[in-house]
Amino acid sequence: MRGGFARSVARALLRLYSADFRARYGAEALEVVEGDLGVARERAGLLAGWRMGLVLAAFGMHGVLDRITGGPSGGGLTGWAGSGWSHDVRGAVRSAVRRPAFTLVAAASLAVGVGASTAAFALIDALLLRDISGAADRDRIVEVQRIERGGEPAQWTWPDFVRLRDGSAPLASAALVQPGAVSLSEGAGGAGAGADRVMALFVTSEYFATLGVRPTRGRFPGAEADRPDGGVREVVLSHGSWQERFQGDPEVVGRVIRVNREAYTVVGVAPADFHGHRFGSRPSLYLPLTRHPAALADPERVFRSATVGWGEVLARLAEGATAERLEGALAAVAWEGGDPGGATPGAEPPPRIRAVPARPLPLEARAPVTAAGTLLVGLLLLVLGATSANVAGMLLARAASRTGEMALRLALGSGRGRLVRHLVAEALLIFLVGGVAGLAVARRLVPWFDPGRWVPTPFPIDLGVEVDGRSFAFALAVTTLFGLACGLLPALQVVRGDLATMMRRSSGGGVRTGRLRSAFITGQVTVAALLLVSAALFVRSLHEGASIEPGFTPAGVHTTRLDLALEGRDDPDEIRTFTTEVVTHLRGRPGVERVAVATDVPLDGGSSSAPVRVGSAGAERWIQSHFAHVTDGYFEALSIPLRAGRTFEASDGADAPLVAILNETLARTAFPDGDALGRVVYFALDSVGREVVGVVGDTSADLVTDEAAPQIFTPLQQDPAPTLHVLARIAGDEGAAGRLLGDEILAVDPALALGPVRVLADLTDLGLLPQRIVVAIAGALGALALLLAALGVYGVVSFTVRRRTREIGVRMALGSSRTTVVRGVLREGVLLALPGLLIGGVLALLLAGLLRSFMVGVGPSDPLSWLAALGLLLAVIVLACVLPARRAAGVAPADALRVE
Amino acid sequence: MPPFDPTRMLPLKPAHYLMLLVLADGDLHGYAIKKEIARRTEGRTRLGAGSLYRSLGQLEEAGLVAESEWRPREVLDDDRRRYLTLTARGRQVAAAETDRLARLVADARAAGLSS
Repeated sequence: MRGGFARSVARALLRLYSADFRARYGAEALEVVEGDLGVARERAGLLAGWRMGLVLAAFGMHGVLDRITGGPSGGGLTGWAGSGWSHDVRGAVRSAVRRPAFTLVAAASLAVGVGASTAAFALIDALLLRDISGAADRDRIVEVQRIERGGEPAQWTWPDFVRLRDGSAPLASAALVQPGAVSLSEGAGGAGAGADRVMALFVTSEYFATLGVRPTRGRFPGAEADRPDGGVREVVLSHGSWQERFQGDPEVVGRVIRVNREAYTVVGVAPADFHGHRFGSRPSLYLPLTRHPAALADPERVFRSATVGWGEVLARLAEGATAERLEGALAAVAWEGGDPGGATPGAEPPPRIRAVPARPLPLEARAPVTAAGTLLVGLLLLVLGATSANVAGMLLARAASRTGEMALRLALGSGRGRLVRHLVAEALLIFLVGGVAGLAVARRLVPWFDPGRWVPTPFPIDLGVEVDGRSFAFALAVTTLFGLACGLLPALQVVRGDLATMMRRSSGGGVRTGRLRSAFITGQVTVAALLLVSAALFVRSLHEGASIEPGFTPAGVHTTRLDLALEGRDDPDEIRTFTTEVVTHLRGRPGVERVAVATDVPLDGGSSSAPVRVGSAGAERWIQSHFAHVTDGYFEALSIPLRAGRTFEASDGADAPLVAILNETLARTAFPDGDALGRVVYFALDSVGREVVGVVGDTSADLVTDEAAPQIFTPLQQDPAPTLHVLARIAGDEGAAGRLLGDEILAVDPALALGPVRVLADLTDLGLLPQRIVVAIAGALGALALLLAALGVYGVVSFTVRRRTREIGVRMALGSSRTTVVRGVLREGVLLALPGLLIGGVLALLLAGLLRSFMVGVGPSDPLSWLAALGLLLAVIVLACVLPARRAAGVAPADALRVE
Repeated sequence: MPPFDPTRMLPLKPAHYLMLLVLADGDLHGYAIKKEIARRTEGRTRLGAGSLYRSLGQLEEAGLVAESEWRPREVLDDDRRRYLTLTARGRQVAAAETDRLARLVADARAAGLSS
């Protein structure tokens, strides 16, 4: 939003306030609004527009409130005194109650529109507009990012973090943070049952001070928790886990619980409104960073290394310092590390340090989320606009039929302004009823934003979306604005002109109200065409996506995830033994057809990749490939076809020669001459080569829509890794099979913190999730818009038919056939809708261009989608005209001539 | 006219109370009141222009604040700004509200609701 434009909007909104208010505070209030707008404009990109919009909306809302309460002199501290408005409100209520069907239909259709856009606003609000919940003095909290060669923020190394924290930069405090999963059991005893995987934040001691958070109970760990020896075993509970796991036990401080099977003392509880500094995943525990499994496993590597990246940094600016000053001070520091994993750290250019205001959503994610969110709210407001146009159309029809009554009132001495106010109050009342119902609708819609409803997530994700005061303000502002517009337009149409013309209009004509109504219809049909074409494009694209072969057979395969690092069993031999135990144990169970353990399964969205080296010294090539370490039976369990050679066997153990299996793409890329079998490849940092023993078919790595990518498989026994998926093809009922898998793994080790058991076919569906969401949204909105357009056209056409009853009667008396009459009415409806169809179609092309990234296998100009969508819309419009047309054709000439 | 009873205006809305509180330290104009409130509440209460001036208008109408005669030195002054001052009534009402809150806090302490 441009500054000058926003200022003129603010000036216009000031007109909403009473004259009394403007005289006293007008100039000053404008100054303050401009100040707030200035602050809002400092936000990045689209976010600035949102913020400025909120400032203006709030200012406008108070203007309306000021008017309703009759200005400062109207109310005093308790507000609301009887002004002319209360009379209008009573009148509006009376006339709404007098036509219950009209009021209900109008309010219900508005409720859907307001509800959907308010829910979308609540989502955007939670994602983008909120500050870190529970933090204090937020202006001083910054995220300190180190930007390295790639331009993306890199993780901080421990030595550089210490340099930052203890240096002379203008910081009050700084913290290094690393999220991670842990296993948690409440019992102080040993390997008790009932361990859970929960989300934890590993933080240095100043984390809470940096965010300005104080414990509700106990204390937070002190500086001694940052000593690299990891000697402080203290844990802070989130308020949620204190309430749910410990039933709000007042004596919880001092209790001993087990985290990753080790004993920790609970020293404090975080406040209820604090959920960590990041959006979405709410940590259950806060642990000292020095107690992170990786730090415990290899302290030397973590605390001394100049290359091991190790978390993000939050800092609190010193009193009076600015982010710029901090950046200036940090630019002068000689940082050590370079790109983690880079070849020669010394050769790296020094990282650029950036201090950005800390927000719940990471800076990198804000731009795409803002764009998608703005588009969504924009579309919903379009639908709401179409709904409002419908209601306005109905109001207009009613107002037009009341022109005579209005003229009479004017003649009897009512002021023109008074009449307009009366009509506007009627419209506003309907809109406000719709708005309140819309809030209820929004409350129903919000739970659908829980990602857990759509996909199996490893941890509960709470987006914190709620219909709160801000959403309420949004809904109120939207309904008031649309309500005012929809009330004013018809009202001004009706009371325009002198008394004589009004009287004349009341008994016929009404050309201009007709023009206004066709404008409304054009708008509605445009929105419907826009949404339907988009929906058709997305449905087609989903269809294309679903017909893609993922390269394996997910049916019947169940899988669960576990992390041996969290169980203290990540020693290579332990992993080998455990894997063998689980596989042998499961193989003997009834119904279990195939079992395998692997570090990765296709399509779960978290595949890792590493370089594979081929060719002799001097002529070597590196091919970046996805990889998985798998036991024998993996390819059989997933029915991945073997193209050449053999799959892994139990004999490919730790002491056997190193072997690898390539997928077709990697085999072709690495060995273009065509024969991969028996050749040697080097995986990642291998010094010893691996013999290629087999080639298998390609599978999709993360999303089914991904192109086939190189992939290498090695035996898990030769490359033991602690993060594992157990997968089993089990016959029979899904639920029973899932329970069987979970129970049998726990039978091997009852204290394991097992992830949920999932059906692989669900994960495959997950691969098309973005497309599904877009189809659901576009489809629902499209259907709604279609209904609205049909209602709108029906309303207008039946209205004109009623008006022309006499004319139609005359025509029929003069020999017009019924067919001619019906055709005439249909033609009128189609002509009415045509401009909207064309405009909407062109706009859809632009919209589809914006959403191209969600489309698979179809372009934005796919002719089939266009014909189908516009054809459907046209058919529905014709259908909407059929009823009035039949009524017209059924007119008996004699009756018609008697009308009026 | 019956004598003025400040307790009849209680409880005050939080924003109203904060405004009276801020004005007790000296006369200020609207924008300065907004900034001072934000500072005292550690940025938690941020008033928009509309709610700020409507609330001030309500206080003025109720006779708790009034336009001030006092002006800062001329160079700093912007004649658009109206300086507001706490009236004797305003002081009484704010004091009555403070007593009311203090009694509540005492009750809360007695019930063990403090850390």
